[in-house]
Amino acid sequence: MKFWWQGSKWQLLAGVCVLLVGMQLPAQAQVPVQEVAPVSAWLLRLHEASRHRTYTGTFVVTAGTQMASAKIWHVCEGEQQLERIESLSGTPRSTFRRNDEVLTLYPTARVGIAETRETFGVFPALLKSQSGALDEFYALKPMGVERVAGIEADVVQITPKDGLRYGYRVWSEKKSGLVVQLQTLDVDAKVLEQSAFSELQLDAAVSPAKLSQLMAQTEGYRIERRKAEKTTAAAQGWAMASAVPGFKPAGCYTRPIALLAGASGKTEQSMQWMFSDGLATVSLFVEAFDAKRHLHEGAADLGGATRTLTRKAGAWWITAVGEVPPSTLAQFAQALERKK
Amino acid sequence: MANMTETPSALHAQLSALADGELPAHEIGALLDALEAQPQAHQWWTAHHATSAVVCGEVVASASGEVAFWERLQGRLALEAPASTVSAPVVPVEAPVAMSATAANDPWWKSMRLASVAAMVSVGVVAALVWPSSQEAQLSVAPVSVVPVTAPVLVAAGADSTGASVMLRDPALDALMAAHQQMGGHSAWQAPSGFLRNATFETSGR
Repeated sequence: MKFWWQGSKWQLLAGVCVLLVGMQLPAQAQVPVQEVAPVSAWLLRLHEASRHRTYTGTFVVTAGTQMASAKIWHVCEGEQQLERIESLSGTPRSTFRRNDEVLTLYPTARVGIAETRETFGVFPALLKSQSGALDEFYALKPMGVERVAGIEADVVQITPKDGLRYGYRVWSEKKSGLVVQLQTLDVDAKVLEQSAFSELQLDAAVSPAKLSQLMAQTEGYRIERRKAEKTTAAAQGWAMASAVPGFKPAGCYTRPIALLAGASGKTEQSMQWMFSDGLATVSLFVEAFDAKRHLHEGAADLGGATRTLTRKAGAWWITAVGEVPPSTLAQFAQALERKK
Repeated sequence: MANMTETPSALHAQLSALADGELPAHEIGALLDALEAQPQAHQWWTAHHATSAVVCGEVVASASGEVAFWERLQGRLALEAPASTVSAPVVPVEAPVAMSATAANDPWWKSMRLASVAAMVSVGVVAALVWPSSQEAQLSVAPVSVVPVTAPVLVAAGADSTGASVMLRDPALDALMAAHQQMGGHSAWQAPSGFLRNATFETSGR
């Protein structure tokens, strides 16, 4: 005969939970719920929390030696999410988001940029479809409980199982799973970049109607729609000679590249082929080689978690950009080959 | 060569060439002189830059930042050289004889004659004009900004053939990073915090 506590860790955990609930112990009881949850399920909880909480706060991003901050308003009304991000540093700007519609207003220049972020709709479906890959390439480890912006948060470390990607340390509010702090870690677990609320008010009184109203106040602004055209790498004449483990194609677009210093003044098209392993993303940009502009081949560290690597391939200039180590970008850039 | 009597349309053409990096170096000084006499020069430059940026699908930076940059530059000029010589000419760029009369072991700052100061200023102006405007904007406008946007790019060791770190800032790379972040929703972090991160953290190409 076998007692329940002699069973698996799952059974043990379930038993403890039942006991604690029965005793009406407070929520901060040290039950390491995440310990047994696979990476994808845990991420799904975080994703849902971001959709269903209403909050205001101050968000601070530190990348390398640079830092930026913004005031945030986030509200959910049914399936509709509204967000307002008011920059506190850099160029004055207000970013509004209603589900996948994003509008950024630059009050000084009186210019607004409207975009559709179709990628907001891909979750949680993408997360579910990539759950196998996530658990194959990342391991999740609970690190205890800490306070962030006055809120009790579970700390979890996500460690990559190979050298092709970075790790993460995540602080999520205990009750809902809302991410309140996120660090990107290099292979030595050194912090490359951090995003965190320095101040956060959950369930704040945020009026969706007021946010909608503000988002509609574009009088006096010239609104430009920034659009990337969907395409396929095959249609553009490109393919990957070999896949980078864990990364799946996540869309291909053509888009104009900015007029650059020393450029001739013509707007050129560039292909952007994206890949994702569920957490990290890599973009491969391909454009015609221009000897005047494309001077430096190799990897660049701009501070923070986003790395870049450039390579000349015949008449083409390839730029790999992503939140991955330079060696991973090199694999991507080398694997890309012209098919026609 | 630009001069005080040139029509606004001619100045516009030269301003456009300057912004595109196509204006011959020897014409830059004269153009700046001519622009100095034009009260609308700031607005011309801002409008030209904004139009180019928007046409290319990129966000323009703060227009007031551009104006502020010019004002700041003028302030620096006033500090670095006597007021009476600032308006004197950027033309000495063409007469690089200034350094020859100085002893090799003279301190460098003693040998910095007006011509070299003017030359450096010219180069600085050109570099600033072809640089993405958001950088100036952030330097000059945002009082609460803690983002040292001028932070140079360090090309990773090994990327350079000599193995040395190369200091540079590549606007093209900034533009691509902005494009990458715009489409970066294929990460599970996008919904919890990635979007907030990208909206908060401004890149020059944005």
